[in-house]
Amino acid sequence: MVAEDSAADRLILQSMLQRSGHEVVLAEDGESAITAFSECHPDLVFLDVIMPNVNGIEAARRIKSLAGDELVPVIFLTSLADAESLATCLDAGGDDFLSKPYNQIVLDSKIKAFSRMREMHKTVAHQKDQIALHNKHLIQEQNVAKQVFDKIAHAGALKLDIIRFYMSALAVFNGDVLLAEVSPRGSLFVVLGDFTGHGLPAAIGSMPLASTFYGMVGKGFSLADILREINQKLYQTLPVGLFCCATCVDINFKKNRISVWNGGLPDNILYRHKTRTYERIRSTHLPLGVLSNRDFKADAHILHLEKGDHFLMWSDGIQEARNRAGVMYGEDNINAVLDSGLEPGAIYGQILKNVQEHIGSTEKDDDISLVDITVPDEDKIHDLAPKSGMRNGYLEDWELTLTLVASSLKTFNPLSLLIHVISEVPGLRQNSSVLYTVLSELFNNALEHGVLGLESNIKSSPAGFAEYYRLRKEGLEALTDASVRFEFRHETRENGGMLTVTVVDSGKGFVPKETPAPATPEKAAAQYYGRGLTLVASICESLQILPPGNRVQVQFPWSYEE
Amino acid sequence: MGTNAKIDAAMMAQLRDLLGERFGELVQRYIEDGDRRIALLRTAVAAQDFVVVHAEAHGLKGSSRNIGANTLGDLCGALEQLGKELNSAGMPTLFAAVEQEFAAVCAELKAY
Repeated sequence: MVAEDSAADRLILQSMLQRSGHEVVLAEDGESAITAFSECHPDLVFLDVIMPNVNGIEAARRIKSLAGDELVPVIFLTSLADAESLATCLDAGGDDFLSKPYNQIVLDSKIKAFSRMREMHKTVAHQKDQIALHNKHLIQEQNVAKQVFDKIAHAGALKLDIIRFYMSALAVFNGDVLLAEVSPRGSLFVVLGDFTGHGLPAAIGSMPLASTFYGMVGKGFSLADILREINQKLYQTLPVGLFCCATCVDINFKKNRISVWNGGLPDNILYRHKTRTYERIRSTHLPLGVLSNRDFKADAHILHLEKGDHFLMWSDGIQEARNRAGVMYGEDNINAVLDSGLEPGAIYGQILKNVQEHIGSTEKDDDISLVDITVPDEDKIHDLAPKSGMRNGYLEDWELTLTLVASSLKTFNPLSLLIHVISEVPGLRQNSSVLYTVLSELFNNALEHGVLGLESNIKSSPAGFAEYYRLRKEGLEALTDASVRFEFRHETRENGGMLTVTVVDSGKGFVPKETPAPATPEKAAAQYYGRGLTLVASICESLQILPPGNRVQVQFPWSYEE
Repeated sequence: MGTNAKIDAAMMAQLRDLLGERFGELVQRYIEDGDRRIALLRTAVAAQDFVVVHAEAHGLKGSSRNIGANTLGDLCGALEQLGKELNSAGMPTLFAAVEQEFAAVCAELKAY
């Protein structure tokens, strides 16, 4: 667009622009320039400075505001010589000047330069829009993920008033995770985890941690079982370099006892109410998710509690909290609070206050978490007792019978299925590998010796072994009318339970003919039934072979005290 | 054209080349525009209306330079400066010189 009140000058510039292949819109004064601009949206505007009806300066301002985010260069047509006037033109949004007499070469170069600038501006604007869009998507995705995350890593028992905690997040997601749940037996389980890194990558790790923790605490599993399972999950799922420093505690308020497992977190503190002194529980393990379960140790420190004692734990974000000058809050400052002889309930607040004052308004560079658990008065303990609804899927007294007939015996190994059921009893889960051995031997005994009638003494030589397994295979293929029945009965007892397993086969039975009946079942197993039942007898409390010898019964007791 | 040419001949040649058959229109518009500005200047100088003197002298300066009437452009520039400085001394004399030069330029233009 050319806006110029001198008709001759307008004609010259129009001709020059048309010669270079541009389309030209003409205006005679400032007001018609503004109108023409909003109607024709020209890419480039030439404005005379001194024009009737709205001068060039004001017209430039209005045109720039109409153009909004789009870059429309404004070139003033002037031979204004003084610096002050030129500055006024630039202030009004002018981008360049073209002086009279007009020169085709100068004009073409300026248009080329502004054309490049417009392209660049368009690209930048487009990329800005794309970044804004991507960012919006990212936030949406994070919010959806956060909803899922919050459902899984829910507050659990954190609402209990004996637990106080502070957690800060650097992003939508927190690399620190705090979970608490009361077990069916009324113990409070709390885990504070600090995953390597921050935000989404760190938060992803807390999903398996949280789902395993809540699932297993709710079913009454022991601290060791829960830790082993979490470690295994994290070890299997997290990439190398991502792991979880954590403290996991099991507090039994009835027995005034706390079990603490610390893997990689700063020392946990048990602050004594009576003496206003404290004990440190140092990390004696590697973080969760580092070792395979073969090398993982779940042994915990066990400490006696008295009412009014406080258990404190925090992530290294506390020590490493930096102030504006980059100085960390540090171990010494924490120790100063611990050594100050404060009333136990005040320690938590004092540390938190000091750290926050230390950080001031600087950007935090790590997640900060601080947890304080009070040992409550006895009359408050019953508040922790689980409601019956909380005992989801927790097997207590039960019986199960599984009968496999010929067709199933040929193709199906029932051991995994049975172990799976048995593992729903918390106290039996930790013995599942031992029980697997027991069931395996009982099953083999029933199938091979009972149903198939194979003699174990065939296996006395290497050639005999091969023969034994050939006979076993043939026997199974030919099997028509046979069965093996498992009968399970589990009873809960004070502080534990008793599992009774009876395996009955359709065979004729093992009635020893050459030798009189032995004095004890253990001896019978040792003398007459080969390695398998000997092993079973050594594991179980009792092993009985019931008449007519096709019925073997073992009893396996367990208790919460390890 | 004599050596006392009021208009730069090279500039004229370029404009003729640029405008082609619209060259006559350019001449006509320059003269009409100039006549209008001279009339406005005459009144403004008499009335010492510095704003109008400054604006119209500026406009005529630009148009004159664009057609290569450089002497007239310079005279207009001087008059524009007086208008800007609110200086009435010498303004009628300078305007007379502008008017005279403009007449000469127009005469020369019509000969092209």
